[in-house]
Amino acid sequence: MASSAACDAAQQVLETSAGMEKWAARGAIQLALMDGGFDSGSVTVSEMELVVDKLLGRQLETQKVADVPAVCARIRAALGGVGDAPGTDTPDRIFQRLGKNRTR
Amino acid sequence: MALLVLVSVLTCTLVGSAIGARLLTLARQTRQLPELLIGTGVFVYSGVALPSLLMMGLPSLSVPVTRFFQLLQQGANFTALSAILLFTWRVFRPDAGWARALVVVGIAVAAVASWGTVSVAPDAPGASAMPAAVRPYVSLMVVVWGVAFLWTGTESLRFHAKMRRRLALGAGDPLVCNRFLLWAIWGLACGALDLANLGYNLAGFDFSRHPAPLLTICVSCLLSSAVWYLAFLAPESYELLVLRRART
Repeated sequence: MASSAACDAAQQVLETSAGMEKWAARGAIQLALMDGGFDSGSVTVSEMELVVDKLLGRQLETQKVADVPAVCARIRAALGGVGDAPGTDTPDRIFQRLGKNRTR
Repeated sequence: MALLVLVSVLTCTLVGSAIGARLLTLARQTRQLPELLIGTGVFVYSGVALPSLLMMGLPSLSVPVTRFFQLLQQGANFTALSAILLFTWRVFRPDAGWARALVVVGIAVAAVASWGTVSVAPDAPGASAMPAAVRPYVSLMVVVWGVAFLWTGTESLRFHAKMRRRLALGAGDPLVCNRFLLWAIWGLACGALDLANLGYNLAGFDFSRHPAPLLTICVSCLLSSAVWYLAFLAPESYELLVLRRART
């Protein structure tokens, strides 16, 4: 499954600003997303921001990335210029629609 | 026992038909396949297959009329089972080749089982007990239902765990998280009851008279009614309880 735009943007920053290898950057993001219960293919910008704020820093520290707060700030800035692609139908969005709250 | 079966089957028929109709109405509004599949599965099973099963058990009906209800029941059972399999694939594993293959094989085996049940012993509906020749086909159908139940239950439980992690971060909807849990409970519990039914069939129990399979039907119907109601038509008090528990 292809990564979402938010996931790609975060990976791009890790590769360029933190000097991480492509697979190391992808792995760090994947682990942070897994900890948060998200999938790389469907994570939205707002969800990615949450992951960056609360989980990604820990992953970057274990990989000995220098100045983690600055890297996370750069990722947040990059996410500001990204839009979510419409139309990805995920299980949580489907189960959201199936509820009564949707039709109220 | 007969009264308990009647009450539980009628409860499931009424609750399931109402919820299935609501989901089909939702499908018409959203034009989305998952709503159509789950609505079809719930509505056809509870609104057509279960009442037909009840009618087949009436002793006063003539063989042709009972045969009509048998054909209706088998057709509805097959449709509902196919819809649940397709729903699980489309919602949880749309890109997985193995899931697509599982759905194709499941539907093919269910078609063979349905055909066998209605064609091997055409006078079976009028017989006092299930003919031995029908039992392998019934077992086959029970196995496919078991796979469908356990698969959808396991996938939903997996997503419930993901949703719990999101909630811990402050993201996600507690009601959606709870809906995954309810669907998982339904799938796994019905899967377990289905395995019991398989054992009863292999042991040669008469499904229309022996208390063990009759009790299984009662539990399955009442459980399905409760879970579908809470998952898809929950009262506000239940939703508030879920939201309150998520905050603590």
